[in-house]
Amino acid sequence: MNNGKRAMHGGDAEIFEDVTIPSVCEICLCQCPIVVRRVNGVVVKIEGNPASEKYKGIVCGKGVTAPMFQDDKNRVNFPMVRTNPKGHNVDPGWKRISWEEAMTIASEKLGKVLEEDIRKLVVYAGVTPFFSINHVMNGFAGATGCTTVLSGASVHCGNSEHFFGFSRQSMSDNADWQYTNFVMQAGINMGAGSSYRTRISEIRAADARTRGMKLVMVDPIGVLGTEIADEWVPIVPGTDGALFMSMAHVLVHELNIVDREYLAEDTNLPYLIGEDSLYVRGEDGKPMMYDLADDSPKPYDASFGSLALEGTYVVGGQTCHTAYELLKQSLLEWTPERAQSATDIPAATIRHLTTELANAAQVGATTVIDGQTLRYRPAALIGGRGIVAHDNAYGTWLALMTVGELLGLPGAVGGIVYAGAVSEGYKPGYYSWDVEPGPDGIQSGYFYQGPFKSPVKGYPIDEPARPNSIGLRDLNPMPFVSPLAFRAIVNPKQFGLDFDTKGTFFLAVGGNWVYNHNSPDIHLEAMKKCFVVGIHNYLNDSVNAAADLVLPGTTHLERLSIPQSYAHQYQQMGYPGTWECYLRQPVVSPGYERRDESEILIDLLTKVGRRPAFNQVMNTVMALKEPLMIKPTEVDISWADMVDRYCRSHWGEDKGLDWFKKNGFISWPSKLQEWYSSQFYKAGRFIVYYEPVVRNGRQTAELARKYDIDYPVTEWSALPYWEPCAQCRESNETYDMAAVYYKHALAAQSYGEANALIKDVLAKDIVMDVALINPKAAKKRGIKDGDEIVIEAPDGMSVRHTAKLSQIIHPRVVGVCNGLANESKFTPAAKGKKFNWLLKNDWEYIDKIVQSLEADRAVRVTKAEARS
Amino acid sequence: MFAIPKYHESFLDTPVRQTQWAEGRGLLFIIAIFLGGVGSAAYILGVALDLKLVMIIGWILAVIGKGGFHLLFLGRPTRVWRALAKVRTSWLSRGLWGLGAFTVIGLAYIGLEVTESPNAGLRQSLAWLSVLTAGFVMLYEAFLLKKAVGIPVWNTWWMMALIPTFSLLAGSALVILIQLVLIELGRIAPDQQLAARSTIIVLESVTEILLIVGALVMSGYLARGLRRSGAVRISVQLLLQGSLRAWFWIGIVLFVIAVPALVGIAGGFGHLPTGLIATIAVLAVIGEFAVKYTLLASGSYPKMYPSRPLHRLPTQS
Amino acid sequence: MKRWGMVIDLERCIGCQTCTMTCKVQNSLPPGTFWARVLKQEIGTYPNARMVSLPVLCMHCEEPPCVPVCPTGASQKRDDGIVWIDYDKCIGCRYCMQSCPYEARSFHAELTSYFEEETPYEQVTRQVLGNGPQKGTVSKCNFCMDRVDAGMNPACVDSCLGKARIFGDLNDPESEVSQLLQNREHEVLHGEAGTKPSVSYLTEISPTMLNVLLAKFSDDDEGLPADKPPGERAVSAGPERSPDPVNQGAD
Repeated sequence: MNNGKRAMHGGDAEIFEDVTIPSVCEICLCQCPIVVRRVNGVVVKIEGNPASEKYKGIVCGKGVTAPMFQDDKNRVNFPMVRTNPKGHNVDPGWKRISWEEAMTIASEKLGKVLEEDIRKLVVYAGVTPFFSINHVMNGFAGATGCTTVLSGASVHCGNSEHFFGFSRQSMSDNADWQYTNFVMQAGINMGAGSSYRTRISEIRAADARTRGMKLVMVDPIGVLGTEIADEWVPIVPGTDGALFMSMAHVLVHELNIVDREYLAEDTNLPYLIGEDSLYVRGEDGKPMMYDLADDSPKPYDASFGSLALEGTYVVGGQTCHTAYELLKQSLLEWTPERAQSATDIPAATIRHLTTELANAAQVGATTVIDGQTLRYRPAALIGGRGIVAHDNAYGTWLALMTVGELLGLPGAVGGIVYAGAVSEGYKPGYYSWDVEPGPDGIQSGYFYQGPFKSPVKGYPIDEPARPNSIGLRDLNPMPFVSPLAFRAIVNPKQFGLDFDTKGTFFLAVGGNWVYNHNSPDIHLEAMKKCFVVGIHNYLNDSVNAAADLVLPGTTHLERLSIPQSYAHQYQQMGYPGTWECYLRQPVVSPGYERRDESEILIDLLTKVGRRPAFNQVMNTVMALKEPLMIKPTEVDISWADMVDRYCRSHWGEDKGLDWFKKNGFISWPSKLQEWYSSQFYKAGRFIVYYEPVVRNGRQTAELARKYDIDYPVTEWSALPYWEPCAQCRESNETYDMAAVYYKHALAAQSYGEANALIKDVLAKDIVMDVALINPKAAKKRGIKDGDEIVIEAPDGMSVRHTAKLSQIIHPRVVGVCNGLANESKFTPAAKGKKFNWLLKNDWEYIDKIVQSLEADRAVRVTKAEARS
Repeated sequence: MFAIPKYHESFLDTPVRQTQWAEGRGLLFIIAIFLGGVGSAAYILGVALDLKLVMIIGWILAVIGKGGFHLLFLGRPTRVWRALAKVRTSWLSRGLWGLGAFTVIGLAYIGLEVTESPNAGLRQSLAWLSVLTAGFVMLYEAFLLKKAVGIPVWNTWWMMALIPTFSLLAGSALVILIQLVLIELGRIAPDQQLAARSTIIVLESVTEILLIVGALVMSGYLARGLRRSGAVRISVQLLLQGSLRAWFWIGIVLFVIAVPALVGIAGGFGHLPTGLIATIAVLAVIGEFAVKYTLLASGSYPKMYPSRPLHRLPTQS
Repeated sequence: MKRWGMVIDLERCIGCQTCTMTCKVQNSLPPGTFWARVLKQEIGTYPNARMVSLPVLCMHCEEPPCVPVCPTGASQKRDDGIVWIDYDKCIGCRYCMQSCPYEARSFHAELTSYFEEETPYEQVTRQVLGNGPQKGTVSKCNFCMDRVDAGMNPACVDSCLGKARIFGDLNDPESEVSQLLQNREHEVLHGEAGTKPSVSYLTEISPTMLNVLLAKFSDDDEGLPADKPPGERAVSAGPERSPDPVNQGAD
């Protein structure tokens, strides 16, 4: 009997090594702790780390396939230099060179920019490297003085949700799965194995479903979430804001279910607002609220006998309203019938959903946990990128948030949670996030440690200034990453930049930077003006189209890094639960001439003479403490030494790099007050009326006028609203469908086509690598299952795909699975069809306030043969 | 055209076509059972009509042809001896034993016949034994398919009628062909030719009867399929309307049933030129291949999802 | 004697294909081969439509139809119920594939790799660890019997994101699998074939059933412990729940 094994091959079958090593996955933002089995120096298996209470020993189908990618034949193994001109779908003519030659070329180009104009340095990070080598990238930017750090992250997904998330000390929202009874989610499939920030939600959502939680899913496409949803509500893309506005209308004007106590005590909705839409301030400059007890306005921090949540008052001769009053008035016209015409959701459905949400919220209820009485609202309304990948993103997300706020759901037990808002730390003073009082009585919070101020500070919001960087975050600091940066390289004058961007040093670490946004032509044109150095672990379309020099990088199994604390921002620990901090360690040596990205960046800095500066910056980035701080003169200290110091600084002398290598991660129990922080830390009110946005809008408009900058600014609103997005506006009788892309967890972020094992599944799964279309829409167009179809936008841009007829898609929508974005014949792993050619890098398609991209398009869909 | 996915082609839960005994190297399996059917039938007719050459050809087709193609089909042909192990449970093992027995007994009988052994008792016994083993070789495939529970369309007693009827039909056609060729080549002495012609007439009658039986049996098999739902019905639909429809309508209906039937109605083979009779016989043999091919290639697995829903029905108000 | 079995809770399955991929890596399966898969199908018509997932694998039947048809005895059932294939005995006739209504088996005419040459991962897993199928033979899920014999769960069970798969001894009435089968509505696939699968599916919970379950568990405070929310327990969030009167309509 051979025990189910295949016949062994004689002499080479000896096992001389069989070990398991803890580390961290990196294939998406979830950053799951893993244990890696290595046999004879080769990675053979990856499993979730069962010791992790937070992740409960899971890692997804993408994470487990990493052993196959390790020795993928399409990886970059040597430094290579381009010998052919840049272009779409061209042979780059890669020529292998030595590391020494490569570093000489890179350092000369970088040195020139450092010497001449630091504004011509752009650092770009792909989504996952951004989370993996964040410390050194920050250090690199800090040591060089780089003013533009771009990322594939946020442009498509989160400019809107992050902006609002930051004001709650978080990247985004989630449901308190452990206690919730009703979750309505729009534009995201939490708990259904979708793209990112969901991994630890899945098991908790499954527990909740077993417990009887009801899950409602609002999405034009249901193929990836209806498995777990109790109810699917198909909606016209880009109209979610109308739905939320009408839900708020039903709460306020029909059901009259509002958590008045929460709104009055924990939000800025009682603040008095003048006719200029700004706070009415007292003599001391403080925003005022109205006390009904003595019929007078008072500064927000005075004591109130009877605080007015609503009403219209005259203060100092000026008529003013409470912010809540304005909100209420603005909701008046948003009846479900009005929303129905935009969203295609029956008014009755809107009413019943709102009623269910309101009833489930149990406004006024409390519960006792560990002897503490807490606000209990076991209902959540949460959103994701689907609702804000539109040029109406700001108003839409604000409307979403407003519904939750009206019911007092944020921070309540069973309600909406904002991740990792507060950590009291492993030990006092170590590794902590905090909230603190901000100006105007509004709660502010740290989000991000580093040499820079937070990319988008929660509160106060940075004020606009004259543009001085390619990143364009001066003129409008609210977006996390501006999608216009590449356009600014092409035409700096358009954005008020007074320097020539030709010769910009563009350093990319991972990512598909030409193709993963929109208008690839503009991105390529920008890259033609730059000297592009890419550190990549496999060749993708962007590298082939536009990199001048490619340096062989590592996978997460070959790399030493400290997974960013983002994991805490996305992956909530819950209560009861644990905080966990991990180390990503090289499980195998990189092989060939591949090198750890952190080491490459440090070497590059050394070559341009910035190592001493880097050492100093890293003390801040890694929050090192004496005597472990790095001296500028310690130029030989390795990346591993720095990580060791980091560990010892934060966790104590006995918990250095070796301890982490052995143990993988450190954990400690979460505290009740950390998880439901807003109920404990009274550091101020949550901002719901976004008054600073009005101010910023006016300033941005003024600056745009003054410096002749192309920035179409109208009056920005502090209140939620909805107006049709670009796709809705472009839609007409000919271009009568909306092309939308969706991401399957396995197919997302290019890894799907880079990993041979996943490609194998892509060929078989019924919703990956297809264009979904409702049979009704298909019949009208003579399209049958499996037909080749052409999806064409009004400007003539088009993509071809294979039609897959599906009942789980809105009849006005064609849905394209878009994790697969490489299609050049010179990219060996290419599999996909680029949806992004349909999308445009143009103000018409960008939210003016938070600069979210319109990631859908009005199109006409025809059968390929039917066209000439 | 009616179509369903192939085995393991997608993760969609639908009935799927089996490919292992039909496509690529799977064709070798079909060739093997085709040769086994025609060969064993020819052998039986050869014994019955005392035609030595037919016996020999039948034996060669059934033993060398079927056995050889089976070996070529196997993933591990060198281990074929292992298949003798499970004769108590596996029809494949039984088939191998049966083929082995036929190989020996058939060869022994042929030996006795060729050497014109005087031992009439032994010849008689071996004749019966060899016919029985040849019959087993012809028929065990029906049990083999009936027991393959993954493919419900095969799990029917109709197989017991279908397989031997069409094998005998083709065997009969093959014998006619052999006889015609022998006559044409002048290998039959002039004084024997009349007997040979009358043999053909006899076989013609046999064929006419078999084709009527075959048509009835095939109709019964198809009707059973169309009365059922799921994979059984789908398998039959693949035959009638799907990718196998040309094989079915031309290979089976036209070649095996319609043409011989028309000839029968027209008064029999006796009136036809030799070439045309030979052509009809060749078509009938091809038709038998079509029968085996379509029976196997149409085999479909049922969808996995049970009739009772496991999931909540979708709701939307 | 143990009888290993698996229970798959369809209420918890999210259709993510993690089991599919884990199985591929654990068993070093060649291109196109899947011992575990998640089948998908749409039910209903727009807008009352949804996707449902059905994870499938070898059912390790108590009456496995693949075993008696195997002419060599390569396909066999262990005393603990695990149905497996001794590759060294398999001749590659594929009769077992036609006899398995669960499409659990794959044939490997050639032992192919994902690239022209085997990657080190494929080399080590196949040649050193002996994982994966053998050329010219049929393969299928063997419940990761190496792992099970070592006291572990099959890989697909440990990796399941929704913890929808539970593995255990069906002969032990106290095991989690037995308990779930006693307390939850369940079904096997192709029960009509008389195969008596060791893999069962817990059906999604209907609201009616949920109330029955909750009533049962509320009788003894032990039930559903970790999931119990604080405060007044809300059973099914629905419009029928009366809102808390506090703070309602205060104005």
